[in-house]
Amino acid sequence: MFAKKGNISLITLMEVILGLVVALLFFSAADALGNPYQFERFTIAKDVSLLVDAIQAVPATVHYEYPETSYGTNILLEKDGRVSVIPDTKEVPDRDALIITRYSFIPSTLFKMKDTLVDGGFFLIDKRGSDIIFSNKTSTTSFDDEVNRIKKEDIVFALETSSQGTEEKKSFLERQKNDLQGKLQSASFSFSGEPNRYVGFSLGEQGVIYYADLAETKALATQLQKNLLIQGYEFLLVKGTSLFSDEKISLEIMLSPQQEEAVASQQLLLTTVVKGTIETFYEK
Amino acid sequence: MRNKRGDADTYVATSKWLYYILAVAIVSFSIIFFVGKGSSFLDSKASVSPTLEEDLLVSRLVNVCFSYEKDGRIYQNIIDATKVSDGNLAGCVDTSLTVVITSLDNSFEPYFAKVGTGIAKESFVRYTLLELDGKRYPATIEVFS
Repeated sequence: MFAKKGNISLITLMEVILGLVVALLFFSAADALGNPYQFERFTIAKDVSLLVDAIQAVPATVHYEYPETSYGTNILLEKDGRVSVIPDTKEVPDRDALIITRYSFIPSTLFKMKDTLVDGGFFLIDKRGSDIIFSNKTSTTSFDDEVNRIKKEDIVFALETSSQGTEEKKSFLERQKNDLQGKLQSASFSFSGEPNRYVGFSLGEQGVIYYADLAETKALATQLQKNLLIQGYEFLLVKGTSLFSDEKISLEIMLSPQQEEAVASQQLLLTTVVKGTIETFYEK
Repeated sequence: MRNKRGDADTYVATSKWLYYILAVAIVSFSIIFFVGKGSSFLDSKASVSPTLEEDLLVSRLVNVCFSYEKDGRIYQNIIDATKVSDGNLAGCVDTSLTVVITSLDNSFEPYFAKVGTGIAKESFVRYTLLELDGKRYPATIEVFS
């Protein structure tokens, strides 16, 4: 181990470093393979490939709206016969994405396709004549109109916290709630009257921003995720919430133990980021 | 590893190189094996029935590639004998494939169409109808892929 007393040999040191690199590779591979999102991506790749095969077997015009996936992904259609589902790297880097999930379909020269990258959350497949077209649903829906219709003065917020956990944790969440309420009120958002927008705080094993299955909440959640990432904290985007019903226009922010600690020690100014995101979003 | 002090350097260097080459090969193989096994495991947990993929391919052949069409209407599950050709098949599927359409009662000679040069690993058969000279015959379509 030591060439001379007290001096570690350079070769031994390199061997130790290489050993660590190899161990890290194994851990990364195991982590990626055991990641449920990775599995979801893989099944979506298979599903979309079969769908493309099925559409090529139909002698008719087809318009198909793919159901929204529960996790932000991009779907890449390759005209040479592959569908790849990749993490939404534009929004959040995913360390678990060691393996890009991919599945094949049988291409044909009879049908014209282009290499297309679409948002896995909202996409359409159209077959018109010999053209098979993938497109983003957001480009054809009235999402912009939907957001523009909302006036800041019409928004009435309601904030919620999880009722589970120790008294200390409940108190922590309650402080975040009160803090955010104060900040939103100072930004001229209302809390009186019938609420029509909901934000919740909860604690869990990992950082997650849950959002209701609506274009507005997904866009807001995505923006919040980006802003938190800028602060150095990663949150996953997941459809659905536990604090609110599906019909409500709601976001739920779940903090991991490390994020909770960062918020408590004011390393992460959570309520400031949330308030800033909401204010910018509804001022568009 | 060293027998004598004077001539040991070359011998030791060679041994170490051999050691590193073997180590890199073994570790690389282990990683590839591990990732491959994991991918296979994921694949097995989300397996697609081979029958489904076969049905989709046969549907494409019968309803699109060799489909019988009259007055603008495409008749489902009926093959137009005049369309069964290597060229039509090549335009329809971009993969190695051989198709054989055989009458169930020997009413006509089998029709063949082939695309690609790959060796067939598997085959499957489905029932269909063949339109030939204004008559329809019960037939099978066998696909070698």
